[in-house]
Amino acid sequence: MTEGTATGNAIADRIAARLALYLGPHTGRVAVKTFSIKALGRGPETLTLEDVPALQAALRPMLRTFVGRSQCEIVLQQIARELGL
Amino acid sequence: MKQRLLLAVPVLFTVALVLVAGVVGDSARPTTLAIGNEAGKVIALVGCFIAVLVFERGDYLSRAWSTTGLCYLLLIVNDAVGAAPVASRMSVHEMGAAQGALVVAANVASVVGTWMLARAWSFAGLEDSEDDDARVRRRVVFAGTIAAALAITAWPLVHDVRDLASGHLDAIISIASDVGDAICLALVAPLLLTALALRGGVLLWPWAMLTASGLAWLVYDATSGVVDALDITSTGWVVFAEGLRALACALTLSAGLAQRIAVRFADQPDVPAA
Repeated sequence: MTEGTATGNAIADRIAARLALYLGPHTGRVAVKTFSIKALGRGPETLTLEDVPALQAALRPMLRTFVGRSQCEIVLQQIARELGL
Repeated sequence: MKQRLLLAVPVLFTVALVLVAGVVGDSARPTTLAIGNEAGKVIALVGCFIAVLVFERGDYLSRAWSTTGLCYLLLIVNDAVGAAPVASRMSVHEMGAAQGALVVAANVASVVGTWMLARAWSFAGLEDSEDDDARVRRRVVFAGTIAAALAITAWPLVHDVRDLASGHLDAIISIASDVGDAICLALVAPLLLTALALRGGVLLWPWAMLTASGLAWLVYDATSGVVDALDITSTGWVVFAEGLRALACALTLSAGLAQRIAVRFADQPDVPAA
């Protein structure tokens, strides 16, 4: 992701970058924002490591739709691994 | 990158069909085009089947691709019913009823399958992420494709409704086909908007190729409508129209392959994030 599109939050940017491989950079970023607000009631710039499981749960239905149940879990595991969880 | 190469498949298939149909003699051309027509449906069915297999049973896109594939399967069965060895064992009435039921069912499957693929964006919950500008853009593009779909399918639909009104009950089959075509053509808009939203990601390709297939069907319907309406028998026009049908079907194969590659992308062990 480029500087201009990053949230400034390393965790949110990391997750958006992983999603961008599938959804493209714009939708990857928008997905993190949308599901952060849905799951946590606040924007991606406030994300902490403690928020990640709730965000992953919120992202799950979206990922399942596009890549199916088993591949969705692989993507969520990749996100967790990248964040050291 | 690998997905981009899949664009070569429909181009090669179409060019091969057009070239062969162009060089064979007039007597062999109808058979050549009929073989190309059936081959197109078979490869589209294979594409749908490849996409279904990459998902687990019950996954949303597994159901969408299965339903789309069912359309091609029913069309192949319909053609088989119309083939001489089967047709000779049925009365005209039985054959009309069987083919009518198959064409109506295929059109229903086509509409439902295309609608599910077009609706993946909303089903995934991403519609909520759109701002007002994006919603307006989505509605404008949708309205544009509905207008184009109606412009293309209105003439044959009016013609078929007149036939029905004058007592030709078999016109019901054509009406079902016209209505199915109109709805599927209108659904090109959400497919296109989904592809645009996914640009830069591996999931772009299945939706881009489904959009291209929908556009090829759009031009095919327009071309074959003109050919039928003006009773054009020119070889060039007929081959062109059949080439478009082959392209639309082969793009469905590429879309299925692209879907498989996109989903399997997660299996690559150390794909670095951007």
